[in-house]
Amino acid sequence: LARLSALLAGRSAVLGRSGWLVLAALVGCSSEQPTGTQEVLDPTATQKDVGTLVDISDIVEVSQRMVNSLRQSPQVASLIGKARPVRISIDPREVKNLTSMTNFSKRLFVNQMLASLNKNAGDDLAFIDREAVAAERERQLSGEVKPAGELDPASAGADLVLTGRILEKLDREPTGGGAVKEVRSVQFSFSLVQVKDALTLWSDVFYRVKQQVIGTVYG
Amino acid sequence: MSADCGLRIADFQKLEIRARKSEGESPFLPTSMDWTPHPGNPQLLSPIRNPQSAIRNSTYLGLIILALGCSSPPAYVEADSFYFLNRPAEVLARYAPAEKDRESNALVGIDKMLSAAMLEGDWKNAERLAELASIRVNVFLSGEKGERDALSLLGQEKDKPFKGEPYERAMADFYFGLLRYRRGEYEGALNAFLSAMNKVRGTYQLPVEPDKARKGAPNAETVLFENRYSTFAFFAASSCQHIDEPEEARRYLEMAKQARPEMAALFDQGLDPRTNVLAVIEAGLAPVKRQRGERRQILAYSRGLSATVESVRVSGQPMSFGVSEDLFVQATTIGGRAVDKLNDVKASRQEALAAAGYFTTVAGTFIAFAGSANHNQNLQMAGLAAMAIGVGTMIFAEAAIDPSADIRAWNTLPDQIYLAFGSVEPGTHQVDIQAQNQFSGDLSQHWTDVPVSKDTTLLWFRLLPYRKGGVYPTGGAGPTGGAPEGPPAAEAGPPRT
Repeated sequence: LARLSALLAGRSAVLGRSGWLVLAALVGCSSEQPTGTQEVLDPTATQKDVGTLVDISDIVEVSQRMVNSLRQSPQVASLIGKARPVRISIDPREVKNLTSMTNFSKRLFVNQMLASLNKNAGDDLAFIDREAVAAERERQLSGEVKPAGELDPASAGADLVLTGRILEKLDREPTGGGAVKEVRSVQFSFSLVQVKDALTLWSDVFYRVKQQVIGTVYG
Repeated sequence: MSADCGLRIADFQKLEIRARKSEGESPFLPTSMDWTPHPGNPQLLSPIRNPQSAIRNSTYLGLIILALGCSSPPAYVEADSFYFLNRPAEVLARYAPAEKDRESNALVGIDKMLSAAMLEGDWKNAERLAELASIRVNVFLSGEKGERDALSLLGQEKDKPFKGEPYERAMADFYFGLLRYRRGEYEGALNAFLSAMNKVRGTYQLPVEPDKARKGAPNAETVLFENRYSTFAFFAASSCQHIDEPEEARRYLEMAKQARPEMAALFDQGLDPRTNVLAVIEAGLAPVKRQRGERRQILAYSRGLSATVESVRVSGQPMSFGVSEDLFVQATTIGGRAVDKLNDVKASRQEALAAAGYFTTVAGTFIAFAGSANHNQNLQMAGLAAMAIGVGTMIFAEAAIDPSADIRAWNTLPDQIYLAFGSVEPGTHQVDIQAQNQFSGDLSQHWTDVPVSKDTTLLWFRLLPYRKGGVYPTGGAGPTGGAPEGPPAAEAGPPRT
């Protein structure tokens, strides 16, 4: 539009009255247009435009806090002392999201948790992902493809199973002028349960609390 | 600003493309015949020095710029009729810009595209659109430009970014849940159904108790309102059952029964493991938003056209069915909105300003007459000036202040939702729905090649006059054909999230 203005200004001789009227209208009505410039954002930075929903920064932080808590557990340390590595089964189906957050990706959360655990675990912990190898194991066991090495029909069992629940409490209270304050408290609770006796070796709870104001115009 | 006196070729192409999009093949567009490469720079275009063409160009260019620069945001209403004519492709094509629209009406277009994608049987696209809609109805960025405008005296309620009334917001999440449920992602579906249930909680203005009423006071109080949609609660229960959460399933089933006691037996049947066909049948047209009050400042509703389902059969076998939701009832049981109060204030200020203008005009007229009678030119001029100010104020009050209620609507929603349940052998079936509208017009549908698995199969039907059935859509093309999307819900594997 700036170029058009320049063109109109430069061609005043041929523009005539209509052109100038148009230019005046243009100046009065122009608005800022998106430029399409790429901007690289920090994925771990808290997003402000998701209201009370959980964003990626919440996932990164909660998973890190969970890993720290797990590593500090004396029971888990004792188990590691007896036999290394301790095998943990992490199955997304064992982590249930029972909240009303439609944008929450449980897979993303579990992946992040697994990555954090791997980074911190060294040789102490090993993680079992049966789902990832199920199809290939099936092909090798059925003879459809040649086994890469010795293939045990029974896959390795886990010492511990990670289970989790994501719950929420949603509160709304009227504020001035018909607006409503919405507070969402999300509880992430996780446990490591021993397979042989169903004893819970470790469990912890983490919270994220977010709020937004639903303005009067939406009340 | 560029110092070049020419227009870059790329700029011209952009302008032309944009203009053609706005105007179609408009005769007002300058043609390439009127432009020539710039002698000094081949990347630039210069207009041919033809006086007639130059004048024509400047006028056309001016009109285009005027149209582009001052156009109001798209309302996404012009293609609504295509939906009701069972031509969803046209709706999707016409409203496609809504996805990238940053203006206040974008969600109107997205919501209607979601309806159209479901009508087309393009479940994947529908789910994508439902996700877009869900984010927009769940996130409130307080103090956004449109919201600020809506709050100001000179702003209108329709300036606010459209999110819909609570029942419309709830339906966005309901569809999102339904589409996830359909492909076996029960946990994600549960999240969406719960989100839909949350939407009906809000603040509303209700009359105060008689003993608390004060003379001259508004005598209304803001209260939190909580309602229950039996359909959402039923599907939340069913989702919980699928993800092995029996306690939660029982809780939501109880909610569904409390909301619609007459459907209790049917809901039990819906959760019976032997039931493998769940059908959602949408009938009638959405509640119609109206503006009430002297200044049209209060939102009211009238019922849209209704329809009645008489029977539902799968390969001749009757299914149990019943009305599980009435959107008109949901829209009208909430009392007045908080924003209506805001519109009321605007209306009273508009009236006060108009009255002030009127009295100023009358006073000015008297002064002008008095000045004229006394041959006092100064007094006469003062009177005329007051008249002008008064008339100006009245015009300003009428033209600049608009307290009218926002009646933008997701009008492709139904009036009522029926649920039907059945138990049939896995395989391919026919579904027959006998239905009629309130004027006894036939709305019956006959669907063939309806895939039913041994586990839960969710079917969705929309009753419309020009929709008679066909091959049941299973993928990304319309109801009369197209490639299958993938395995049915039962074979689709574990939930994705």
